[in-house]
Amino acid sequence: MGILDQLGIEPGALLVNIVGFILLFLLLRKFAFGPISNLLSARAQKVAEDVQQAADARQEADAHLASIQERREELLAEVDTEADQARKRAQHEVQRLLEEARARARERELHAEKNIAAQTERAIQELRADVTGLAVGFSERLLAQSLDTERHQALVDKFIEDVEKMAAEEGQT
Amino acid sequence: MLEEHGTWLNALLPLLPEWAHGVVNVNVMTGWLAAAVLLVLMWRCARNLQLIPRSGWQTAGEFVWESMTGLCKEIIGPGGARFAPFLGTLFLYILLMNLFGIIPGFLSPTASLNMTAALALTTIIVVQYFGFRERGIRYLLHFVGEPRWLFIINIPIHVIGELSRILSLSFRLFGNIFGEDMVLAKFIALGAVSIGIFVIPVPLQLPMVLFHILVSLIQAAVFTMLAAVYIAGAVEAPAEESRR
Repeated sequence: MGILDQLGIEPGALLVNIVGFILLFLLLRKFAFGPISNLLSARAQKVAEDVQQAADARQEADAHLASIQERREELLAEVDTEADQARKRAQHEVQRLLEEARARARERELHAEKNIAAQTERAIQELRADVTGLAVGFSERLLAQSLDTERHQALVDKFIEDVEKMAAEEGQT
Repeated sequence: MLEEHGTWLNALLPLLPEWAHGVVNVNVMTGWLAAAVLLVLMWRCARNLQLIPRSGWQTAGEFVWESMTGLCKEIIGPGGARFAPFLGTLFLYILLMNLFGIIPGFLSPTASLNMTAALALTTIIVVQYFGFRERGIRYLLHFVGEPRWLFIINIPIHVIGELSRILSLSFRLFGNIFGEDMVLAKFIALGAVSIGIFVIPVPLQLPMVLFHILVSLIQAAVFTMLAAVYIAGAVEAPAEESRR
């Protein structure tokens, strides 16, 4: 005890300090370090969970993106097919319209040819009837009067002239 | 001694009951005051804790805790975080008591051997407790040492080594803080004397106050780190024991 006295150490104060420190330790552990430690553990757990959730969400998003890209490829393929079919349909339609137009033109051409032939025939018929009439008239006039050579020649010329005139009129029509 | 200078708490001494006069002195009361301040500060830090910190108090509390667990893991190992409450209390308490010396009208309780010896004694007892808790009865082999057949010599040497730790811890802290407080007191006295020369008192102690803060931090850290090293030595199995 002599040494302790010389050093100024009082056993009572020493003991009180020890008890005080132990009490402080227990109180700090209970009311400060414990709650802070628990909070940090909870935060670490939360961060780990959030990271895991983020990884899951990323994986899900990647899968979703892959399915979207796959669907896009399918749609593009469908669009290509549709466009191809439409192009073929359009070409087919153009071909059909062309053939139809050609047929119609040919039909009109034939119709025009028939009309021309019919009109020609009719003109010939009319000409024939006119010539017959003229020939009948000429014969009637020939029979009604005696003809000399000069007169005969004049009648013939007149007949030919009438025929040419008629032919010219027919050509004009 | 420094107590002779008197502090604000000297006024409370006459109010103490008769039986407390040999037990409670100014240093003890300053220690209590430091403990109360520390409790209030740390309680404030740990109040309304949120997963996302919204107050500086919580951030400060988390910083203290993270620093202490980091120190423990670094010195003791991956499992060292479980000793952080004890070492954290030790560090903060010593630091606060050291800093009390720069408050006018107060003395550092750690400038008294009563306080430093109490802390050192508690530390060594706690180290033995941790040693037995972690390694059981095999902790005693730590005192036997190597080679085993020299146990008769080894055991007294190791026991003396453990006891000397109490002395080294307590006298190191006491000597540094007592010396700092003495220097501070002398410089304050020198500043008072300077009135005769400069007409106004010159705060000559100001650089020493800054130095006191630095020494307070260093001494608290040294005490805590040594305690951590002692704990690490007590809870770690020796290499030979690990191989077995």
